[in-house]
Amino acid sequence: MRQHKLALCKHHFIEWVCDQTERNINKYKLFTKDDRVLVAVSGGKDSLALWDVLSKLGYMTAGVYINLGISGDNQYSVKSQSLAENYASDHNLVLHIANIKSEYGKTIPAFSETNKRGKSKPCSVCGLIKRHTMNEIASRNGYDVLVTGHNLDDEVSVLFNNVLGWQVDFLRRQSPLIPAKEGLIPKAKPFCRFYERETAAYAILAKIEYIEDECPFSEGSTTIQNKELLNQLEHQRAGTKLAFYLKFLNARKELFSDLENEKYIEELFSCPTCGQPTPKPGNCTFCRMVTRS
Amino acid sequence: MTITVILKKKEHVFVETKDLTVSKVFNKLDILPETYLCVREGELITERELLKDGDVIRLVPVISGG
Repeated sequence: MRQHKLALCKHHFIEWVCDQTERNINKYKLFTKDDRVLVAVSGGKDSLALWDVLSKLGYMTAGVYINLGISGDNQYSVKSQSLAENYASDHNLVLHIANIKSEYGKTIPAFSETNKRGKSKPCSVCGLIKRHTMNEIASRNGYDVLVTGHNLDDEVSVLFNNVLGWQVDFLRRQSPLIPAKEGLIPKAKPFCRFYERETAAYAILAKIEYIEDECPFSEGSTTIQNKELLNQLEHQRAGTKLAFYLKFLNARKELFSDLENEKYIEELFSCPTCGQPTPKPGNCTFCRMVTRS
Repeated sequence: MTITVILKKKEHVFVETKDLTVSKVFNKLDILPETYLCVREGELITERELLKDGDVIRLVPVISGG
């Protein structure tokens, strides 16, 4: 780990990942051992590694997997669901499974074909459906926090994009913890300071079987293009990505000194169809999409 | 004297294997070490690892996300 000037053996690396995760949870006040934690599991390296670490640390965890109905050459959804189920059963953990086609009548690619949000790619529709479904499952089952496996490369890629486009509102919201709002469960990212290479190394060393194949729709995505660019910078100067993120988190407090100010707490309405919060009166974006499609 | 490297489900065979390390494999394949890990017989090996005749190594991508 050039950015930390640190090299560890297998045993100490696994211990280091667990210790650093605990440190992140405490530093950013993400959740406590009294909280019921729902881990968003995709079957990939980050989410399964995160579930593994949180379980080892003694947190009360369960997983949620959403079958998006994505096939492609690699039967992406079938394979990733099977890996998530195997991990849960091998470790005697509860996994909630939602199947988008069974619940809403269509797969993600089918929704995107009939929706202007997804005309070119289904990623936007996918994000909307996942956020809605995860919040619904978390709320219905009484979880205190939803955690995702977002790593530092994910965060830095988004940050880079938001800076390039000066997306001030997105910059304001980018944080290891997205606090709860009326009807919205808090979301936390305990892996936000780990390089993607470290979470992959953890998954391999801990013998976690995960899906290496990418979602077929992620090919050529902005996120991946940004990550490639940022890795070139990292290669030239170790620690660039970490410094970019950590310095942003510090700068964010100065840039947005009104973060705690009530006037920036968005007023939310309750969707008359699903009951989830929405920024405007009437049906939420998710319900409008489902009824229109 | 051969070393086989599996990258994206394709095999690359290296015949000149003297002093071949994982780091040199990355260079030869024009890969940034930040973007792949190397696995031999199911075990993670570092960039400095010297490869042996007959080794079969797999390069595991670490970049994900859409």
